[in-house]
Amino acid sequence: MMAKIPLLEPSDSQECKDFLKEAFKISEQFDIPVLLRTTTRISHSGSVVDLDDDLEIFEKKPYIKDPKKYVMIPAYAQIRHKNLLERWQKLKDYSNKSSLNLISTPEHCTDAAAGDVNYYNSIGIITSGTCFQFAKESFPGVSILKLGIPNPLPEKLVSDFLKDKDVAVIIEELSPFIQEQVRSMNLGIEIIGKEFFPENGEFSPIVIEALYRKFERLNYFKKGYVQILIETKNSCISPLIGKYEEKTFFDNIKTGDNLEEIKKIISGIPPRPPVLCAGCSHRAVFNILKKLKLTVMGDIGCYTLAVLPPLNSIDTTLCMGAGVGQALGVEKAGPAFTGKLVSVIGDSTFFHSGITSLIDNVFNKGTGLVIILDNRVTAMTGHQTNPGIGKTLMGEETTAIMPENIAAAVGVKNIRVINPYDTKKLEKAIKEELARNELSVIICRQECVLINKGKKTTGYFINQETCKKCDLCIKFGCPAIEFKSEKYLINKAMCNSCGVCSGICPSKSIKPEEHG
Amino acid sequence: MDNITVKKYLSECGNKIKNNEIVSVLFSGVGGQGILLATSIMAHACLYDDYDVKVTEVHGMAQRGGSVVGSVRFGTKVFSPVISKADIIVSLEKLESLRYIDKLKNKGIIIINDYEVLPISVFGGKFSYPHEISENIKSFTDNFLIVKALETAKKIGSEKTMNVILIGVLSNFLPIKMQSWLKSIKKVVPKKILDLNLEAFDIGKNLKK
Repeated sequence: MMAKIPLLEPSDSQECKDFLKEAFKISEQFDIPVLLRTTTRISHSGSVVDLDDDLEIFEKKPYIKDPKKYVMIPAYAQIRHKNLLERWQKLKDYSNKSSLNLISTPEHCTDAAAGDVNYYNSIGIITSGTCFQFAKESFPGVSILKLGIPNPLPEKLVSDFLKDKDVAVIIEELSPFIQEQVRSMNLGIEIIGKEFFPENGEFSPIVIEALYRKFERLNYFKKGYVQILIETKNSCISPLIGKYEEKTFFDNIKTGDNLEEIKKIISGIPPRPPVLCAGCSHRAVFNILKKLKLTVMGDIGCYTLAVLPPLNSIDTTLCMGAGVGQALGVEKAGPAFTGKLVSVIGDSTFFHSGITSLIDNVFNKGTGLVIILDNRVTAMTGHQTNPGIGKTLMGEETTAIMPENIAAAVGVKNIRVINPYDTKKLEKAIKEELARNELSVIICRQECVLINKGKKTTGYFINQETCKKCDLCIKFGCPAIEFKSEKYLINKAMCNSCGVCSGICPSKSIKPEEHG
Repeated sequence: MDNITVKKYLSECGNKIKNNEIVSVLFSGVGGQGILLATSIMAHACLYDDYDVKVTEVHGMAQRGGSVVGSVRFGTKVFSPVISKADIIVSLEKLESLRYIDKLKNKGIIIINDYEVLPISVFGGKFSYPHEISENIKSFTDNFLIVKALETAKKIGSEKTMNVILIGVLSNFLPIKMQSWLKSIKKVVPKKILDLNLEAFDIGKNLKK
């Protein structure tokens, strides 16, 4: 709002497509960047999309040198700010007239709770994005102003919409962005929203239905807001206000009297967190870091899963590239951590924003150990290439940039490249580098197991005769290792033959299958 | 669940659609079981029958064995992609049927695959896997159907077809034309494994309890 960037918010897949087109048009017309906001549910849902084939081809505009526009030295920035305010005023007019902001009136009302009343006229819902869809189902008989352009808020449209209403219900996820602006318009009517809906988390139809049920309980639909206010005037609080409390409710319980049993069943459901894949090389690395009881500054990637049981070995993860810098900060603040602290970062994350903090470590005389987990791909987001691979995102050949060369170039003296499946060698290297009073980089290089998914491997098995049932293999947390009918077993279909577990077993009972 | 119950449910479901109501189906299971494929098969089948459809999924790192949910809502006009209460839940894994049981509508149906994938949390000793799932489910509903999809899937040669076997079972409860199901499977499933999956669907459709 303060940055004066127009915001478009689609509410389904069709609108994602249509609004994007509109966003480009607005951007061209008003010479301004436009935000297209897709929340979690919009990104993770699908609905029918009509493809229209009349593509509009825009002609490329010639570049015209204009330093007063493109060079933001203070003197020019002041000129541009004035210009922005003028454009913003025009955008407000545009928002008031745009078809992206629309009033959705109920087609029919079969709402038993509503009866015959004029509640259509007395409530107005203002919402945007996915909340519109929830509101449409939960309040079938109510007019809804759907803001396809929540910023700038179409104030004239809002005040026209609310002219004959006595309550405006603002339904929006997270902070009360729309609500506070509508309130500051001083329309003289009740405006509710965040007094009722949570300010955190994603909404669902259940959250919206809760308000509907409250209206129903107050008999609002029959009596109207003013009547309810008179009846409850002694309570001094608006009858509609009161936080929604999330309750898991079961309307499918057979009988009411087994509630205790139900609670017991529900609380006993074992959680199912995601785990690193069978054969993932990250597991081998973090198992060593856990064993050596090191403090680990983490980063963002599949390996962040090492924060969860059974590895429990990551101490911090803030944002991409942060871990390497944090390690330097912790070292400077707490010399006691020297020799007990490492930072870990994936290959693509290192290229993205780890290099600057590595330079910071060299420049400011850090003595820590940076472990680069190079699995030769950007695994977590779906196996895209990165600058280390030698292929562009489009698959064209390009120069492969190697992390060890970058480390050497910025002045790191101690650099090793190790295959993490060789756990003995890796453990020894980590110990040696930690003991050194100088900055070190270890690159753990092993391809992500999903790269050659489906490749036939010989697999490993557990010799039941020598197995001491010590539980260590299960605690390693590989999904291919199972405990069934009092036996420790390796699931052949899942095992990717990394062999790391065989090194963990104290009784040497985990062995590779014979060929054949 | 006998044939009469299935037929009764099917006609109730058809009536709902006629009354402009929305039918919601929730798929639950473990990452890698093909929940999203199952969701996609059903969504396309609904589309071929000219219904409005919305789907949504929660798949936090699905590739990595976490709990996964997919949902399909269809009818004349659908607004919310998110299910408030499901008419039918299809669970590809036993434990996951219990995790989402609060999403089942009163008198809704739950189809459970008799198949266990142990989560890592049962190895710590704090939790134990509820093997006797039907005992627990009974506290919530009598409308459940346990399908032994693993045996059937093994017979036709791939454990990975369990999802489509369950889609076959599900098809008995929904007012969607047979040809639309088949057309959808042909569209969604990769060619290499199409015949296997068509067989799986057929077996699922004709599975008796």
